[in-house]
Amino acid sequence: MVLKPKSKKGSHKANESSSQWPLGIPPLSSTKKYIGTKNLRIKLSSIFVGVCILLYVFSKFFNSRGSKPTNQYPPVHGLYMNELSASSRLIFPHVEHATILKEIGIRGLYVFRAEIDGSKQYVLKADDKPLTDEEKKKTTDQVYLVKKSFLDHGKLVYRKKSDEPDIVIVTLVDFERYDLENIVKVVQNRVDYAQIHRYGVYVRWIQEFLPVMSNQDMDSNYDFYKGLVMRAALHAFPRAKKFLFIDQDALIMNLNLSLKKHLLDKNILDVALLRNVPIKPGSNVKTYENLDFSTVSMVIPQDENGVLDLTSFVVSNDYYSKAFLEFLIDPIVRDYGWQESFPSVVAHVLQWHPQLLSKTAVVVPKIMASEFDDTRSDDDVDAFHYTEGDLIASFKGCREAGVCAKYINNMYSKTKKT
Amino acid sequence: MSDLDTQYDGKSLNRYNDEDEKDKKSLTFFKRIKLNFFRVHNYFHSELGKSKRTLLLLFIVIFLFFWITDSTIPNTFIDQRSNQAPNQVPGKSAKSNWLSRKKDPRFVIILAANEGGGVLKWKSEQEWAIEHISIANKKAYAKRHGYGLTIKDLTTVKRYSHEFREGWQKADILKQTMREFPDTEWFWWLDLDTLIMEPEKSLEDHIFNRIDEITDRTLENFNPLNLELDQPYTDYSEEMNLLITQDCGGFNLGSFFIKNSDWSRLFLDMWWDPITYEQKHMVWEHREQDALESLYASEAWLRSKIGFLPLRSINAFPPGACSDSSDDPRYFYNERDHDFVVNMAGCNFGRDCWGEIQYYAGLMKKLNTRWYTRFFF
Repeated sequence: MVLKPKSKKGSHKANESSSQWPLGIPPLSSTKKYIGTKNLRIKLSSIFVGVCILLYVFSKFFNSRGSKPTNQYPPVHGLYMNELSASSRLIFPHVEHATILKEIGIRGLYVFRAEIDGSKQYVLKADDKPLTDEEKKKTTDQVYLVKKSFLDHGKLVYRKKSDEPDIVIVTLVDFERYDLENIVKVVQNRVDYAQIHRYGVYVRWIQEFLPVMSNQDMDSNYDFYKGLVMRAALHAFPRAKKFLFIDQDALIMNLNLSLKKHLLDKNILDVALLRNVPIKPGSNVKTYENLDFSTVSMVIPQDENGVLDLTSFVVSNDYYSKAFLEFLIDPIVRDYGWQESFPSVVAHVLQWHPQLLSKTAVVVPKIMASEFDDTRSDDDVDAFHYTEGDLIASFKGCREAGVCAKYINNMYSKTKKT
Repeated sequence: MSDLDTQYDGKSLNRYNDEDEKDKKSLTFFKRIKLNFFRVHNYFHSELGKSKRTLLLLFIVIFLFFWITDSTIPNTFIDQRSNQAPNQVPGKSAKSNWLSRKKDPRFVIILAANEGGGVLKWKSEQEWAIEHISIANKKAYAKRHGYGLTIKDLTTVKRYSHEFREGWQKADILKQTMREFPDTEWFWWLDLDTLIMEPEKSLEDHIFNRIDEITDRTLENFNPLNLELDQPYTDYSEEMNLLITQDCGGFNLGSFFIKNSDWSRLFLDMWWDPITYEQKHMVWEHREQDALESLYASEAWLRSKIGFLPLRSINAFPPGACSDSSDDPRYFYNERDHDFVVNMAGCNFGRDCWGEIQYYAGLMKKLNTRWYTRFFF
């Protein structure tokens, strides 16, 4: 208090300004000054916000450039890498080649390669290129053309957006064990049926799948090829919903019967469903009492002996059916050395995998694979045997008896057409 | 001056501001600070004083909100190690005290405790301690991010003791957990010998918000098993339902994600089949891991929905594991990169589990200590 400043006013001002912004907040006495600097503050803050937005935009920009492009994965393909787009929803091979193919033989169609372990196998060339139209015109070698057409048939897939079928009829034909006449009738039968109802058709030579198998003795695992062709069909028609396999030893008899109104109809399924029956003779696992028909993925008939009948069956384009088929054709399952028949293997899969069983409708054969027996009279009607008006007549076991040609010839003439 | 000191209040301050210039001149620095404090104090009182009631209301609402949400989180912890009542669904009974329509958490961690324990030998003191550390680690993580945690007992049980059925327990536990948490989107399976090293990272940020960038759908870049790269019918455009990792020896299921979906349920059902086990149980040393590798090798419906995460993203190894390829940085935990999870896989085979878990628990503490936490301890 001894030392006094020279000018009262001056010292006061200095004092004021030094204590003007305590903690960044203006004192009450200086609100006027605050208002005066407000414009400047707004300016400053708007510049700050602007810079922030710019930084944000640029950081986004740099990030998008810096980050890796999304991974490119190979597109889905079937057994062959190169595929051909089919022009028609009716995919079937040149059946007239059957005799030439038989002459060429398996040895002429595939490469026979010695494996590391000493075994010799036919191999599938996955990157085989299809023959172009130009090459077809140039080539005069008939045998080569037939061979290429055989190999290229497996590359056909239906990718057109128009005229897409909901349902596809699948059949395997065999040029080694069946005559041309027989094959023509079977394929014609499927095509006729598909034409009436606008379904798709997917017919393949059974020999096309031989190199996929590790056990290439076809007679020992003839039925496992059904799994292979069905999986190929799901790929060939990715947007079709249901796929009906019909064995070559079976004919569609009632061509007017639509699958939607028959086999895939909830009411018909409800009547035909086998509830609470053992999945195979002697099994503890039984089919479900209640089944949600809207989510049924597979339909498989079971014959009078309680054995599943894979003469004809339905799968859908969902992962239940894919898992079912791919599990059946998985080498570890397929090559297990089964002592039982194929239907029993299917029953094994269903009985150990309740998720699959819960999506499977086990039905009476009458609705999709009525067993044909020419010794029975027409008045003897039951749920298993063929009578007139049934959708499909199955000549199961005719190959062993050597009567397939006779049955097919007889019955083909009896098919109902509009 | 001493008079002034005692007289300071709002009134004297105002008077001082306006008139008493004489005294003010001679104020010391300390006094000025004090003065300014009162100015601020006054400012707040005059400006905010009017909205006191609103502020109080706001505070109460916020407080109640956090209290309620916070108190509901721990209910997703379900310790089922000593669950003796299988009929009761613990997930349901433990939940639903605040809001009856409360949904399950989006993520649920399944911690596999007690593997093989209690049957072949007594559990040692160290094993108890390891279990304690591991569980506390997951509990803290789940609570922090609002995830569920369920602890499952992997005690050797007679029904799995047949050689064909050894690997089947994992699938059964997953199926059961899916039934318990029907609304949960993803399940994260974790073995007991794991530690979450970066509890700050959420699963959303770490994995699921950038799932396409960090997963690999093919084995092209990393294929320790030399499986066939190309598989007919595999569709990589499908959504992933199973996220696993690969170590030097192939698929590793010590830490993996599985989506709560019909596909997953089908997969858990198809995983085990007696005829595959009958053929391979002598070869399949790692049971369900080998079974999955076999399915992956030949079935496209499975391959189409599996994605591979880098091992270090959810399953980094300590130096002792994969010792044959100890110079490969793809496998081993690196603290500088802040790897998310460390998995002391196989530490009970000739390594020191207790030592490893102590080391990593200590490291985790060190890595996640901020400078300011020193003030609170």
